[in-house]
Amino acid sequence: MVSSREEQERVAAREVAGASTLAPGPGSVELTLSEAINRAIAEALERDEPVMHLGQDIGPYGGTFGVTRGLYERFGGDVIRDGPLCESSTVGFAIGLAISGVRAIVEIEFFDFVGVAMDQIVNQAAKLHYFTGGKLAVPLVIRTPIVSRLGTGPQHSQSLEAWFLHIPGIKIAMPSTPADAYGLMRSALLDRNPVLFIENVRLYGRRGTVELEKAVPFGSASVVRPGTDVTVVALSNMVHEALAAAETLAERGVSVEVIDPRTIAPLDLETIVDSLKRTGKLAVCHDAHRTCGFGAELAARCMEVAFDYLDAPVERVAGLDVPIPCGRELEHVYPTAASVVTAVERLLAR
Amino acid sequence: MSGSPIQVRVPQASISMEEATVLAWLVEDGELVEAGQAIVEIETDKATVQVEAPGSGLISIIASIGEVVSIDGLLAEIGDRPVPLDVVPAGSPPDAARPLPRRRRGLARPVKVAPQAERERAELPVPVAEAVSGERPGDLSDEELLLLYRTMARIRGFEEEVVEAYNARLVPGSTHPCIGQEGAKVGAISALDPDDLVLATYRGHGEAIALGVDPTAIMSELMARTAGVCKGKGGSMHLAEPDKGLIMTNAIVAAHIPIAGGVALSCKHRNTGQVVLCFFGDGAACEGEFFETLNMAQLWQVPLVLVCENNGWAISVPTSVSHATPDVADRARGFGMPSVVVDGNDVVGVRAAIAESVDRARSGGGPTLVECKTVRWERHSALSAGADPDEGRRAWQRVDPISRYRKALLAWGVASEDALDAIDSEARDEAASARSLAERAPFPSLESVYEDIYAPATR
Repeated sequence: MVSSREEQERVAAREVAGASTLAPGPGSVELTLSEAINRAIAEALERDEPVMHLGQDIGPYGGTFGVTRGLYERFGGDVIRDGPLCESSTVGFAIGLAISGVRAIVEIEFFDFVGVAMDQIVNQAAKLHYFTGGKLAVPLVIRTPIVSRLGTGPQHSQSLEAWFLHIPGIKIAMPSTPADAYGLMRSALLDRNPVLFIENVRLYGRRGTVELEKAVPFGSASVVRPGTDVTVVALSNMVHEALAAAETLAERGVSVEVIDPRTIAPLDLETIVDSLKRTGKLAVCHDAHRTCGFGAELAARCMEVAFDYLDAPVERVAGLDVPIPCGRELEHVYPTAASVVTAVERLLAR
Repeated sequence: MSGSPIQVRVPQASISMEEATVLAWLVEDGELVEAGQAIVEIETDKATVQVEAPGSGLISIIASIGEVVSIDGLLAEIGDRPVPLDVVPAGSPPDAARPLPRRRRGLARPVKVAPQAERERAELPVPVAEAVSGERPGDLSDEELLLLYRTMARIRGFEEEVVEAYNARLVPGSTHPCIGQEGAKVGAISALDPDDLVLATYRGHGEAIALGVDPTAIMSELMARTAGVCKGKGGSMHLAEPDKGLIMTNAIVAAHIPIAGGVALSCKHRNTGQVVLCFFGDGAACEGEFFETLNMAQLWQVPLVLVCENNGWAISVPTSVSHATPDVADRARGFGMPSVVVDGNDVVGVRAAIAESVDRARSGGGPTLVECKTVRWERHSALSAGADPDEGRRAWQRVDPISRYRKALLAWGVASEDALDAIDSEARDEAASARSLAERAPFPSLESVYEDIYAPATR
């Protein structure tokens, strides 16, 4: 059963894709993922529509991880607005801007700090359009990075996307390549809904070719490596771990199809299920804790719509259900390429 | 009440006690006391105890401080309740003092308030005055003065109709009438320009009416009908009519305050010349987002007027046990923001204070916090009580902004009793009509739950 919420998400995704012009752009450039996000923001700031970016350290400092570098100098402090350390009211102000004619972007420095702004995101941004009968729209992008595998400990290392996946009314993007980061940010900045844009410090420096002025529509998964034996769905940096695993497995004669959903709300379930119908085996990979993670939701949805095609129970390759300790010695709390290989081998052994 | 006075005697507070010493009188001689109100502190051999008034009326103190009185000895007498001349004038609408709903839906229990708190409740949140004072404002025509009255009367009529509709089970969930707080709402909104913007709380029907939102559309929203301002999905706590200046009312205490700050920042950024008015209560003034917004609004000098309706109560908790300082206005000073305390039940006084703040905001002078001292209707909401209803009702009626303003209009010769009665009557008719139309409006279709989760790409 595909729920009507999913239909809603798909309609919304199609509309955004339709609104963004996919006409041939002025060529392509080589950018890091961080530069790709920066570029998409700069292009939005150059449009006629008023846009404002709020956050702490986004001004002359250029953002905690350097994503907004150069924007302050180029667009000024009124628009690239450094503000106080208060996530809750910063998001609140951004919502106020968004509902009254100024498209807003907010940076939350570590994903973990999103808890401080939870009411504004969950009870306000996600619900205003609904409870005002469509009178208010909230064109807001909340940017925040997953800071995993840096030894930053339990309050600076989490992947919390599942908290928001649970809430109708908010879109969630998790790009894994510079092209997707650029294209998804471009879509996010054309959307009229709140978007949680989840970045990843491990990916900021990753380089790639970016096709300029090309938006990546929400709700369109990317088959990053085609294959025939097993379907592996991965989020954010786990896409690259999955690709490494696929390479290892290819040497053993196993063909893995790697899919990056790119947005988990709306979710392109169709592409995943099409793949699953061909392979009969599914593994879902993310840094976030296993319990109630995206993997649990995807396993349930696949069971609902493709139970008869599953040859084995869905494998979840996820972070352990423990607070994340600091230090590199205990980094096995995170999944790796090796964990993906193990999961695929278990699927094949069925 | 009439007849012989009620006698207040020393109670047997412990088995061993034989007498008590009067430590302190908690009321003045000749003051109006209410049944259950703590009136005197006495010391026995075991403890200090507060003695509550056994009935209501004017108190005559007999035992003086320091006096030793034996058990059952006379402390005071409570005589007849006076007719409070300033409170309910002869011409006030017959149903203005309509008994309020006592029925509860089982979710909330009556709250027992501590004796000290009860004493403080009996004293109204100062400085809300009972009597009319002041001169007629020189800048307002008869017509404008009457519009203030008419708007308050329309809100009162609407809210009384809401209470009835709620009791008739036509309003789902809960509802938070603003009966008794019309003065602050109407006074503040009357100081705005037509393009200015308002954000308010779940106690926000009054703001919607004052801004000119169609009462039938509001009532339909309360009854969750498609004809409601939010298509019947927001309900009593969520009203929005941006075209009329009502951005929204919000049900998370204080969450709309930073949002209002953002709307004001938007107005400044786009140079629209608009001012944003943000209503909230004393409860919200304890939330972090209130303080954060004081900082950010002042830092960025946004055209925002923060209107705190301090009615002294957050559901069951009085400000005396939740606020470290008596005036919310003081909190602005820590951020360098101008602030003022006004009698929130004086509609023209509120108007003057807000007008000055709005002028400052519009001319680039930044935000202001205006604290309107007011008195809540007897309960927090239809669903939850929070104070003894009888006590609460008497409290707000003593300072009712509409009755007070009515007397002022008569004193200033602006209108006759008959003319004001006619306005009251029209207001009640409007509310009755809104209810009747709303009751007949259709409910949303079942499929509509899936509508408006996401905004379409284009308007």
